Amino acid sequence: MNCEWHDRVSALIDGELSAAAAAETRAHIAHCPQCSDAEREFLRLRDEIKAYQRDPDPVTMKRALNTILVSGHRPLWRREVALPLPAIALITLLAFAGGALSIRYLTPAAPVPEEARPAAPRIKDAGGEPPTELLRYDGGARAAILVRKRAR
Amino acid sequence: MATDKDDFTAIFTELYPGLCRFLDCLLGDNSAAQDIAQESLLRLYRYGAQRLPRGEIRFWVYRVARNLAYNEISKSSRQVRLLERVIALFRPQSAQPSNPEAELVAAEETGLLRELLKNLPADQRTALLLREMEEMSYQQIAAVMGVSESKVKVDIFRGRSLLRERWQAHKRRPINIDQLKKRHRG
Repeated sequence: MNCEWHDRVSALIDGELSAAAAAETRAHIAHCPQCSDAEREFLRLRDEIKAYQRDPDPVTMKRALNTILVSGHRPLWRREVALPLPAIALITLLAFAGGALSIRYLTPAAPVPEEARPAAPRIKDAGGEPPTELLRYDGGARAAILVRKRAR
Repeated sequence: MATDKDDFTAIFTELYPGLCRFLDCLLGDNSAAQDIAQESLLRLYRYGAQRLPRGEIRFWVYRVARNLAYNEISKSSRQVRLLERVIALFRPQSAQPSNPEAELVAAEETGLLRELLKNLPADQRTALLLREMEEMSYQQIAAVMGVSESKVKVDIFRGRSLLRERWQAHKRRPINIDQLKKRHRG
């Protein structure tokens, strides 16, 4: 069964204990054979791991560097653009708003049915002047076209 | 925004070997380690190393490398052949080794260590390798792995304990030198 101080032994060899905790742990190790063994073996494993030396050969390293330097530059249209989420949300909202407004103003107004058009306004005769008739109008929506009849 | 070439060459020369060693132990595959090391540094080059404080560059690269390695680990589960690793690692220390049997045993042990490391859970393995190979502090390891310091402390302790247990179990089994020699010859 392992001593409950083993985790502190692990932190001690990593230099991650405060001065007081480190002193306390060292005092414990001096009297605990299990922790003394654990410290020795943890340090041995550290040496074994560090002894693993498998560095890449210089040719491989040079090839990797050249590959990066050559492929590192990308044309503008292939670059990734990082945008924060609020910016994406705002752009999406503006796109929707712009689309909705475009649909509203670019779509031609539907023709008003005959029965829905207001009655043609009657224009009073101005006395002595030939009567003016409202011949055509476009449903009262925008303009009334008046045509003065020629006197015969 | 790409990094200045001269600056990047210096950063690459400094980081690439250590990154390869770390990834080689993490993945148990030298070829994959070199690919991921190259990809990580390529991303730094494209991101622009000048955008990072000088002291942060190393941790940024290791964080990217660790994420790429985890993707690799979860994508494939390979069977690592200990014999191939031992043969690849076995290098005579001198022209005429004084004790070839001890050399075989040493090579077997180095390959075994990598095998034992590879069988640790990924987080424990990563934390332990960053601590032992790269000598990072718990705070730095936590930043690379995106976890808390207390998790790093627990992972390192558990990784060490597990490695120690398995190493001791292997040591208790006597090594048959004749079998080792047969394996290396054939």
